[in-house]
Amino acid sequence: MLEIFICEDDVEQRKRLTKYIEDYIMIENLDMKVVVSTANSNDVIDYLKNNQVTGLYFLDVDLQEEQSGIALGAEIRQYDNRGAIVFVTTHSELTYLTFTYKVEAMDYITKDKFTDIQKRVIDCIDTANMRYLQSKHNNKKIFQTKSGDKIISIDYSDILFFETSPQLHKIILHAKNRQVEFYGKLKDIIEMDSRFYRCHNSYVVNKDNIADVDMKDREIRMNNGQICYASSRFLKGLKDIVQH
Amino acid sequence: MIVFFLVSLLQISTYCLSIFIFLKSRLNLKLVLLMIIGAQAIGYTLFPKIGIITILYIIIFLMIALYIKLKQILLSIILPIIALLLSVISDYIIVLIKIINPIGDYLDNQEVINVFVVSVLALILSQVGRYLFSKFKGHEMFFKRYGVLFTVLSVVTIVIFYVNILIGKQQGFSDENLQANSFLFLFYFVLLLIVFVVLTRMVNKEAKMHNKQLQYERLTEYTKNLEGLYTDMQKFRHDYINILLTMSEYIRTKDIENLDSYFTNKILPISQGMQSDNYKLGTLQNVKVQEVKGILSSKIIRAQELNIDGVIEVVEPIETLNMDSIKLCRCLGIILDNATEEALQCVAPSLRVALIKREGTVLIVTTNSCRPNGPELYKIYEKGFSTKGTNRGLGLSNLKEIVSQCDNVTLDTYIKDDLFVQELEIFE
Repeated sequence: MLEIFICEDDVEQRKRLTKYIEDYIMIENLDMKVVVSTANSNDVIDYLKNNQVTGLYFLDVDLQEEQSGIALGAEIRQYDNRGAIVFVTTHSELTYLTFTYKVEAMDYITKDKFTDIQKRVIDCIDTANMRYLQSKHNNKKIFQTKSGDKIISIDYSDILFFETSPQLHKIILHAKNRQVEFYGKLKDIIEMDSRFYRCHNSYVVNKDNIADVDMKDREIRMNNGQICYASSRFLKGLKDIVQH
Repeated sequence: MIVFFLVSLLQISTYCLSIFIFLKSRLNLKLVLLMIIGAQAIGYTLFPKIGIITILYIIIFLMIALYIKLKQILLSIILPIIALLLSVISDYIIVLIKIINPIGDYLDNQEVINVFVVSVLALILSQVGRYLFSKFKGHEMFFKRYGVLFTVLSVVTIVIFYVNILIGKQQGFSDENLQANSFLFLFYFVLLLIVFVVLTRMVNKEAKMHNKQLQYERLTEYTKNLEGLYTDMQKFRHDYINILLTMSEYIRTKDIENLDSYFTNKILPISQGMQSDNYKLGTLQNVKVQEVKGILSSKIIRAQELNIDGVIEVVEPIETLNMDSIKLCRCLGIILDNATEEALQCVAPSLRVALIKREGTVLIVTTNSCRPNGPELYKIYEKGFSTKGTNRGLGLSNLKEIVSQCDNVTLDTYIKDDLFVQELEIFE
């Protein structure tokens, strides 16, 4: 069950928000429940300390000041790192990305537009529910690596190949619709999964996403048309892989 | 014969190695070895027949070899010439030393050792040259502007040097002649160096001035924006009192119907106005790095003028950014220009920039709306790719190149839910 938390200091708005949510859960008969509806953020944290949950959080970031919204979000993350956090705020315009990146907020509801709050709340519930159900049945393997403060996670099936950058210890990961750089060693990456193959001193390719191999020019064409390079030393091993 | 073989091998190896020293980062030893073998083959077979002209063939061979590897015309012309110049110069220095110093007699008798000393000197000179070259910044800019001039100058120099040597060979030099020649050449070489240094200084100064001017213009624009904001504020203050008065009047008379219509017709539009473009730059005050502030404001204002919903968010003060500011501004310029261009082709164009402080890093995130069926990501990073015809798409491939030169900056690019996202992370 997905548990819903509401934290909003304005009594009227909290009541309204709670009503929107409870009505929708009832109408759609969803597997959800509002467990905490409060003005005090400590109530949320206390509940999380005592219960193991996956939650959907509606937080008013005006609680005291902007910073507290980020702090609260970060604290929630400590207990529930899969939960969906939605910020309800007046000045979203100026903090949207910041919240997204600082606490991986799922969405953002602005109070500035007075009319469509209910619709946005419902959208959030739907999205959170979908994600929750997906994650329960999902056994896709995800590649994860840390770069500074950031965790890069990509489905293994989306990874095309890794390439070393001219800069020492920097690796460029080429994936479907993503290119990301991080610090690491190719040697460690090969050991992470059996579908990775060292095809060149500075390239590691994902065998599952190879479209074809040009033996003459030593080029590997990936599923999306991108080219990865192989060296003659490793070409032989590649031949065996492609044929099987 | 063996002595000749050894001597020419030594000279050619020195020559190729000093090229290698200058371009360590982009050449590998394998190529250098190939160059040595090729040059030696040419030199060994041709020298006995045509004499000193052989060097011309060797140079051309090396230029072609470098061009195949580097794909840069000027660089591949200039490098062999500089290396050759250094060899000639070190040769002259040794000649001078020999004339002044009695060691000379000993060296004269041992040709191999003589050549060896010259080689060591040439390699040391290349190393020094490389060190000096890496010391002064902005040589990229210099090369861009004066690359052709510099190349021509070096070619002329080498021609003069060799014509002189050729004439000397034909007419025979006395010791005095040689001495005078050596002095003349050294003097010429030093002069060339001085011209080079002065020119670079000038170019750098000019570039600095240009940057300052640009920054000044951007900040002026930003100030104008702030003034606009202030005027808006004053207008609002004025309206605010009037609104309260009117509302209190409606409430006093319990005229809910009129209050309702007043609220929807008069007050709601004002709250919309609060989201006007000027407000969206407000948090820029938290950026304390002037250059970055300048480029962000000017690019976002430009985007807003093109009817893009452009927003900047900087929640925490950003005091410093651990990246060369010229490089950073170039990166931001490329990212924002591309974002603007792509956003313009969307139904609801938006462009959003955030500077976010994290533990040990600062993250600069740019998101822009993009077309649902845009080109594959890897394609837009290819040199020469552009959605607007040919010869325009240097932007993103340049961006990647700049970032790859910095050892504490990483770039993350992805497309998700019709948003194109660029994350530039700068490590402290």
